[in-house]
Amino acid sequence: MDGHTLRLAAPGFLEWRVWDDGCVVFNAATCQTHYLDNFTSYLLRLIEAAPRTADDLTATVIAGLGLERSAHMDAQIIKALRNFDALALVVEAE
Amino acid sequence: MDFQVLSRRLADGVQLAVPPFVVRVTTSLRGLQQSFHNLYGEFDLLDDGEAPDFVIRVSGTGGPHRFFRRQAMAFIDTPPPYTPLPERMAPIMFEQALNWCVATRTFTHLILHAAVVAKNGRAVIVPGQSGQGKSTLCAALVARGWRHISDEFALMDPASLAITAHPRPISLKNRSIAVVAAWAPDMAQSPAYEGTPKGTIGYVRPSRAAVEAAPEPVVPVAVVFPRFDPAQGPAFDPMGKAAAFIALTACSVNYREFGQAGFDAIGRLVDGNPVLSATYPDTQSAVALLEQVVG
Repeated sequence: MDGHTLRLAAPGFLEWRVWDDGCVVFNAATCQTHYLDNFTSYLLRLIEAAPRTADDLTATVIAGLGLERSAHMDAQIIKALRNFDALALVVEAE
Repeated sequence: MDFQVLSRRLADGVQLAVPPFVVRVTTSLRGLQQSFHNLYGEFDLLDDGEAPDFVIRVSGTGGPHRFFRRQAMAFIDTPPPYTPLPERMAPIMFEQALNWCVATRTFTHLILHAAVVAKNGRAVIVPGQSGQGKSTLCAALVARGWRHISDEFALMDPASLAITAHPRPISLKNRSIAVVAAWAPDMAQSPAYEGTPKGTIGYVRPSRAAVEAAPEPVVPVAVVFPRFDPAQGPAFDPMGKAAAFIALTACSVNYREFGQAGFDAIGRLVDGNPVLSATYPDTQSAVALLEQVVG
């Protein structure tokens, strides 16, 4: 998954509720509701806006949030992507 | 209604209005008939022409148990997901069966496992799993003049968020029975049923006023998660909205069935109302906290 481009599994099927302590997203394609913390929801929003690889996401996070790249950040992003995949929120783009 | 008349009607089957539902109940068990006379005395019996939402028959189980340790079993039109109880606990069996019917066969309302009470038309949802104190708090507030809307299920219209009243005997467990008896000595309680799978259970009889007001829905003004802690002073903690959303969906028995309508309804409930965690060491402070919520 690490080098592949990911996109939403069901574009247009996500409904969001965003609050200070996190967000919930409803996937109408699976009828599942997911709680996402602020960082994870930011990643899914980026993928929703345009298909991306893990490296794309990392670069966007660094630029967008003004953070330094670290092994911890890479691990967090990979973990989030694997969770998105397990929850059928993302798939590999063709 | 005279007990002998009720007893005969229950043996043949009777349509009971348990708002908003019509329940057809059949039982020849004397203990359950007496319990009905006590706990459902303020509810209306309907003509047989009224189509029932649920049909429940409670009877002995037959077999060798007829001769020793007699048991009671509630029969619905599909196998119920619970085991028989001793016959003296037939009223508990009936309440379990009715809870199961409401939880699994109500498709018009989003159901939260919650008590709902109101004062001056301002309703508070008190969610919680069994044993977290919602029924105790409900009984304590009703004893102080709050409207009894439900002690077990909040039946919420997903479009308007209005809650349909479902007043039933308020189920108290273990220590709560004595707490409510001390708090409200005049409140009519059933005998305590000892040795049930959940310990000792007793019921508070709903008032006629609660039954008569049932057709009037209420709109919630707050959600309060109760937390009894004898080591803490009374306090409110506002819950984060996302955490409140997740906690409420965990309390819903049919959230998934409503799909996006359920997601929207819980989202609007959380966005439009304060969601609080209330910690209290005793009944008096719990009631005082809830009084603050409705102003």
